[in-house]
Amino acid sequence: MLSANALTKDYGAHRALDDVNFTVGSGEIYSLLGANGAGKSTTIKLFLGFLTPTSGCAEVDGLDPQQQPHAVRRRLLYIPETVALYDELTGYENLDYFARLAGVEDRSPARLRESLAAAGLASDAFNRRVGHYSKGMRQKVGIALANIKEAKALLLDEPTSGLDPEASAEFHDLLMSQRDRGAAILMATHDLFRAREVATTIGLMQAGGLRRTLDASKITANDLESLYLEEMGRRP
Amino acid sequence: MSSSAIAGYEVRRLLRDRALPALLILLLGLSAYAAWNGADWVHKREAAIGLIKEEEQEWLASSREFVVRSYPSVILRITQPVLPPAAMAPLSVGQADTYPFTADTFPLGDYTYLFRRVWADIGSPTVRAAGRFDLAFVVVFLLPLVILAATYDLWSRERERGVAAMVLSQPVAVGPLIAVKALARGLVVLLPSTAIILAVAAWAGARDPIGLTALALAVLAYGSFWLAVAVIISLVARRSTEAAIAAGAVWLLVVVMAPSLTLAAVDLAAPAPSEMRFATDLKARTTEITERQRLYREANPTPVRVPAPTIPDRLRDAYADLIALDSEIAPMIAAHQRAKHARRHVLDTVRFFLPSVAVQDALDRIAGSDADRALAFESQARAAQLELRLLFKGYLDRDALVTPTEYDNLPGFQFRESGGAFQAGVLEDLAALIAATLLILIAARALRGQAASL
Repeated sequence: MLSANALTKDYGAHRALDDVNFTVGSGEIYSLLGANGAGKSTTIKLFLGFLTPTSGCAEVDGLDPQQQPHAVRRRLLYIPETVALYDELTGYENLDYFARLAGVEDRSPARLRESLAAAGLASDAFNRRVGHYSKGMRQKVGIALANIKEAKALLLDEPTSGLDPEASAEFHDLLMSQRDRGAAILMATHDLFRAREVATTIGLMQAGGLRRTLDASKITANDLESLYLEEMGRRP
Repeated sequence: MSSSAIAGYEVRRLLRDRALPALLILLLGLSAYAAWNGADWVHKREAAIGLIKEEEQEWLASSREFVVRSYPSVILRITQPVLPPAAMAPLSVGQADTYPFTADTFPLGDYTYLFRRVWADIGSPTVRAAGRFDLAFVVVFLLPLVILAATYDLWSRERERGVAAMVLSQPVAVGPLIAVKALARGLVVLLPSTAIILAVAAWAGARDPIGLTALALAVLAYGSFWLAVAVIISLVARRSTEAAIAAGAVWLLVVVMAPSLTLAAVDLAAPAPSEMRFATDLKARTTEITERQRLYREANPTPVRVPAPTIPDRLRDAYADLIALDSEIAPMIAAHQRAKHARRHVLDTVRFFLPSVAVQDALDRIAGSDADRALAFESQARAAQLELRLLFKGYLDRDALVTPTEYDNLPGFQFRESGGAFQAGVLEDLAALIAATLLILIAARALRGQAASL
């Protein structure tokens, strides 16, 4: 579903991403781990078509975001560190608005409410303005959008950063439910332990390069930490 | 996604923001004060005209006594033409204060006699850019601030908060999206603002339906221009603070600086002829000629006719001297008029490139406080003076006294309006505003790619 093919991105003389290759199939979670500036967010922005690769290409369901941005974005859902919504609108209204933007045809009130409930948002919060929402509640509206949009792939950029442990655990449960419905998930994160728990595959990034690809089911938390620290200490 | 749904949500968001009602209430308060100022100016002008008319009636009555007593002269009505405030006058004082609104017609009066009471600095250009605190001032100076305050962060705030990234991660074209959002916000701000301005104008006494229609169109055209400015700022600015600074700078440039700088440039290219110097030179020349005429008459007195005419020949001499005087000072007046015309032509042309000046000009014309109406009054008053002089000459030629019946039936002065609220000048101003708006929208279209960069 998601495929990075020799993906390279330069910002002037600085190479932010260097020949990155990976694939994320349906029902898989690929976790990108790395320090700030490793190239995780750049990778996600290339899949979204927000940035143009210097060479190589990102593909979503076989489509190039540069060539067919709308077709690609119909298949994707992007959840940044903080799901930015319109503070003046309620959670329900935000979901309706973004569902309309996404071109979702079935936006009946029942379906919108069902999506919000499935994402774990309390029903008394549906009609409360998002300006009063916590970060976790905003994430749930984002997941509700993934539900209603039936997104084939989710791009998550440090989604649990700043969440308390309970909210973080709840979010990962939601992520698993997205995986179970067949979505391909690419998640950039700093959280080694959560990444190992939920991911199918883990990619360790450093200085724009994908240094190691690990099978999450075959590595312990301690080994992952050791490898991560080893990679982060390595000079490019 | 349908445009109406985007617009609907944009309107909902704006209405939930408490800043908009506060802005509109502020606009209402300032507009009401400005309209009261305009109405007050109209009342004072009407009161002044009332006094002039009373004085005129007294003159007419006293002159009639001489007619009844068959005084050996040509006794004509010494009328005082006045330029009454137009139907939409409370809207804008405009340039009405810089031109005479009353005149004195006297058959033997020279060029300076007609406006002897008012010798203002005719054609003062500063009033074109900034006038009194009237409704036109509110429209020209404050309405852009209200529109910019409600729309300047149309997209930059969404960029800043990260909402733009969420929006752009959906299958939407950013150009049409911003256009619809701008239109929705613009209508929510512009329509109530226009309604407020129309309502207070009507409250102040400007109730002519055609005038109000023209006013609404001028406000909408000018508001659309500022809406287009807000769109282009939204496309370029990445942060709300940048957008706010840009909006303030554009307002300062378009509303305050550009008219002043342009006037300075016009002053260099086509300097305004000094009315004071013209008046002084004209007086000196007139004194010189009349003194020469007096000396000539002393040296060459008119032969005494027998039998003596009913109307003494000294009046015929005075009339002949007046015609000769006019003929001698005509080149001087013509040169002054040419210089004024040249400057007015430049000013009339540059207004098309300055939206704030174009809308001020349109509002002045709708209110009837524009230079063209004042100059039309001057022209009609001079024509009335000429008519009176020819009438005078007729009595001299026939050597006949004015009878009381003839005196009562002598023509009075009635200012003839021309153009109206939708005169050519207003349509030109509206066209200039629409053209400026379209140019900015074309530039915005070329820059729409900027909105997609986060």
